[in-house]
Amino acid sequence: MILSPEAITGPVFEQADVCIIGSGSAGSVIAMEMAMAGYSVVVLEEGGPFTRPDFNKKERDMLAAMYRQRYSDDLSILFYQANCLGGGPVINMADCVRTPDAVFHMWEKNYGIEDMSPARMSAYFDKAEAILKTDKIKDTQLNRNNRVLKDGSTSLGYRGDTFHTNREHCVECGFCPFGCPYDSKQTTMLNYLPEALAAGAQLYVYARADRVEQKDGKAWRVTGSILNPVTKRKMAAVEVRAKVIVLAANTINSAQILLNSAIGNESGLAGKNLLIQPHTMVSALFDEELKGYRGIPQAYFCDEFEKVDEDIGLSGFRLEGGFTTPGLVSTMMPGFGPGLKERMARYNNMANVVVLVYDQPCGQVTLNRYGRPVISYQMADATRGAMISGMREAAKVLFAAGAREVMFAHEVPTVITDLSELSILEQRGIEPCSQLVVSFHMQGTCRMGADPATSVVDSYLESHTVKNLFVVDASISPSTVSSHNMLAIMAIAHRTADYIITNKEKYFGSTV
Amino acid sequence: MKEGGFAGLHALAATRRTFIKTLAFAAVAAHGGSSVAFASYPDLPARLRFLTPMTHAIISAFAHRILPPGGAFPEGALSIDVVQYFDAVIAAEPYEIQQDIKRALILLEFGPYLQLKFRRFTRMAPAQKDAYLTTWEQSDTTLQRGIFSVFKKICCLGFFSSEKIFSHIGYDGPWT
Repeated sequence: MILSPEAITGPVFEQADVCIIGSGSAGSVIAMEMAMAGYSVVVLEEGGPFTRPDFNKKERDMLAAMYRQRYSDDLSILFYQANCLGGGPVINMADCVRTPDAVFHMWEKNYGIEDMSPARMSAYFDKAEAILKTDKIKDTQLNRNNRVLKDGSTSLGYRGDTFHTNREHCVECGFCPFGCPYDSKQTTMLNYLPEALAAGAQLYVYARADRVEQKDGKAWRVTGSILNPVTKRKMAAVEVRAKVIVLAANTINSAQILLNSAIGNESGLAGKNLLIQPHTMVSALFDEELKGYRGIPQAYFCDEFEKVDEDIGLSGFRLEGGFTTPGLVSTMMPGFGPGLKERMARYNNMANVVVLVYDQPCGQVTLNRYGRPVISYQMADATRGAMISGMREAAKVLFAAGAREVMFAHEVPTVITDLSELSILEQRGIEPCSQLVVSFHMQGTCRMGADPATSVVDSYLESHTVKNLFVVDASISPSTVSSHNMLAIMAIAHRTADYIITNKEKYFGSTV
Repeated sequence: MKEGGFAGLHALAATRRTFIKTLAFAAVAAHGGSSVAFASYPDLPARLRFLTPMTHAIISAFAHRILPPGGAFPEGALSIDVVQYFDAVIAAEPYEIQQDIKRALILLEFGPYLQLKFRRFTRMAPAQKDAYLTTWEQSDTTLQRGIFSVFKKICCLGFFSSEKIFSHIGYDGPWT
């Protein structure tokens, strides 16, 4: 049952075997697995429920309804998070990328992670992929923006491929980031959450968890607020007592809740070690009309410059085709005044390449006086270097595909018409608030590890110090888990559910 | 430091909040005090949730220079509901963010007084406004560039997501 504020007239009190905070990639998986195993499940989701009839393909409406946008404390990085039932899968580009084997090996070697070998994880990836109905995008499905990336990188001899995604019978309308209006994208709203509901799970929407409490070393209660859907102000209190509590509120909010709760942070690392996978954009003008917003928006990637090894995991950068609606595209346009309008007037002739950079932990989440998260991030020199290299390679690819001019996402316009002008990138450097840097894949603030002194949760994602409290989302990644978090986090969530069920007597006693 | 930058003062401020708060206060003081500074703005043209007459005038002047009428197509920010969009976006933010935005707008308005240019932003001629905004865009002070960039992004998002603009940029709009 989905419970919304309209049906709530006073304080809410629930008792369950499992309380899950968050309904996204991880929360939905745990909810389904635990409910189907016969456990009573309550899910608290801060966002609202949006389904096919709500997806009106208007970015203004959908951004306001289903996203949370935040800036870093120095305003240099824009973070996009889902804020809706079903979480990130409802509004992402549907890319499904497994964690490279070397990352698991690195985690074992450097962080002492147990029982997470590629062979062990393979079955969980298989399961998640089957539920998501993942399939590889066909070459014939590439839209013209992604075709530009493929043609350009192929002509330079660079490695690349089409993505695996969770789409079925896609009509290629291009509105994936605003909720799929055709239910082609196989989001958590179409598989995991309906299964959880059918098995008896209770889902509270507009229900924000504020604190997790412990008693005798065990997590036992979640307290929070039922929010007015319009004003987002508190309209009732909610309390859930549970034998197992799963924090799956994403990298920013899971850290926030742990810090506000003042539990599970004996290492002092809750909120630390933030990775953001910084993205920037490189766009170009072509003589021919591309209409890059039509078709599958993000379908091809070039991973020629992506490296992975067992010492540091993923590093370097990758290029991805990515285009979207006019409002969001305009936010990466340089300059202001008539020049900005002139550039946007050529929207149909633009191509855009996303530069996704793999970073090392360089940030943190702390709390302000209101208990709300403050994100700080100081980009490392190596990350700046990789970003400049990525911008350079993106420009080369775009010119190789026939671009007339290439434009970087600097605030002060940087437009080049020839590769000989690329040295401008080193001259400009990567200065905070001087160019667009966005993040969609935040990770690391509740790092897992074998050593309680250097991590927040153990190899099975249970708090080192508060029993029966699990953190299951991208925040547990000690290094970047994949170029796209969703599938990896789902596989890890399947594993954690499996672990809890296998050890049911430890967590639930003999009552279940 | 580029003209119009506040790098020296930024070094003294521990956080974004104290930086903006300190500078906004200093700028208003340099103007001659709050009672004079906050007077004489036109009434709000519509009921808004965040903007006051003063901050409405400031963001309207800003949006008008970022997205002026004419050029590639006739519409400018003020013929589209950009300012109302800005109001709605900020009204949905938590209290402390709203306070930061309010102070940042005040700093934008009275910042010229810190540079000994005795004319507030909203009363500058268009060319002066553009020159002043360029000092923000290119400032050596990260937060000054950041404020400019955040305001600009919100205005652009409001402008180019308006259906009234779609035909001018060739966008054939949401499928129906």
